[in-house]
Amino acid sequence: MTVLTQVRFPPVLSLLSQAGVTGFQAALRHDYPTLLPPERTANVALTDTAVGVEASAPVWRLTTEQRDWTVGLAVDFVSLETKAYAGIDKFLARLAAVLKALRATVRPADSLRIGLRKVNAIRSPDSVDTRSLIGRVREEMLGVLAVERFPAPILGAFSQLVFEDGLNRLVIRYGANTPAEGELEFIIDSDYFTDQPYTVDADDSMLGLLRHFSEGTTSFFHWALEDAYKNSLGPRPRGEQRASDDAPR
Amino acid sequence: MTLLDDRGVFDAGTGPMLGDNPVRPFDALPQRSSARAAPDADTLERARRLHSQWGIESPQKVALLGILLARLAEVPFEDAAELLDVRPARLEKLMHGEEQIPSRIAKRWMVIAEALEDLQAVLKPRATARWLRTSIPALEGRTPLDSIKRGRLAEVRALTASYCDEAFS
Repeated sequence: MTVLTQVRFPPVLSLLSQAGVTGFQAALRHDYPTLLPPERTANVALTDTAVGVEASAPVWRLTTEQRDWTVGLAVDFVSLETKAYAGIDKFLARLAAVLKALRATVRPADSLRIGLRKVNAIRSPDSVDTRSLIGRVREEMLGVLAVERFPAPILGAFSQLVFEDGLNRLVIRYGANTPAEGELEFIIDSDYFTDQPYTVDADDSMLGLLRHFSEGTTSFFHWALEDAYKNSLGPRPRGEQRASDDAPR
Repeated sequence: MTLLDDRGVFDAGTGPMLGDNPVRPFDALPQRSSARAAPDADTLERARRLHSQWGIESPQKVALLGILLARLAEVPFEDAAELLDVRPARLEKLMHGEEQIPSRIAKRWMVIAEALEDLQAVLKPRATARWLRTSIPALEGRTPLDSIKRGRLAEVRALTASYCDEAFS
């Protein structure tokens, strides 16, 4: 499973340059010692007479030694991402340190958007037949992927479900994906977010909100799996193999 | 590249489902939580304009401010502003790159940064806030914050340097 949280805020111009990130990096250096080369996107400008490409804002990325946790900082957001998710408590503890460093060294204005995204990939036992997902994923989620006969194999299908939760939204994108030839997986990509303003700090209001988001996405994920398969994934003593080696990633 | 962008499932904008569909049966997808920057053109233009006005020393001064603030992470923002001799609102502008850092201030900040480095070699960073407001005999009973406000930065610097000497003696 990959988990990412992003807090968007009004642009902070100093974060366009590496000098502007120095303090943030210094505050987090102990836990995230590696500053990766900035990732840049390009804006393509189309006019009647020309096509121009202009540089866009860099995303500064700090990682742990194992590179399993990555902090992203750009002119208008901070993010924390991991492929080594081990529960919301540990995730929020790391996020609190990131937000505290951001508050001390950048002090952005109130948030424009706060989101928590979890992406689960459930591998199919059969690399071609989407019906092999029956028994793992609820048939309501599988939809046409569970249909027995089509004149050609299904290579991909995605749907979107949007829930309203007061001032928050939960967007679920789900469907079949073929990450590589001979592989088939079912993706459940949950993005729980709010556009309500929050103080960008490691206080209980923002962390509590993200805990609520985490519980909501987990709840949906559990609902989306068939009970027998879900139980096979349940907690078990360390070192003991799971029933299958193709558990959600 | 992050999350599903790695897998090539979704593009950065509307996703393959909507992006390839000329009928576009749904409204555009809401913005995703991601690790991609998307500042508007005005922001980039404003940054370019401000940077073109600044001198070549600016990156060093901005970095110095960042290091100072990291060392003052446990200190209330108002106290940090007082220590750096700027009003909190102006400090925020300096942090955000909305205003240039005057060289006069930067020179002073360099000495404060050195003092904090000495201090945090012997004290945990979380003790900095309390130390700044502790009355110290070597400063004639004044607090370091008060002494620095009164322009007696050299005395505070000498004091923190002495901490390091004592620690290694």
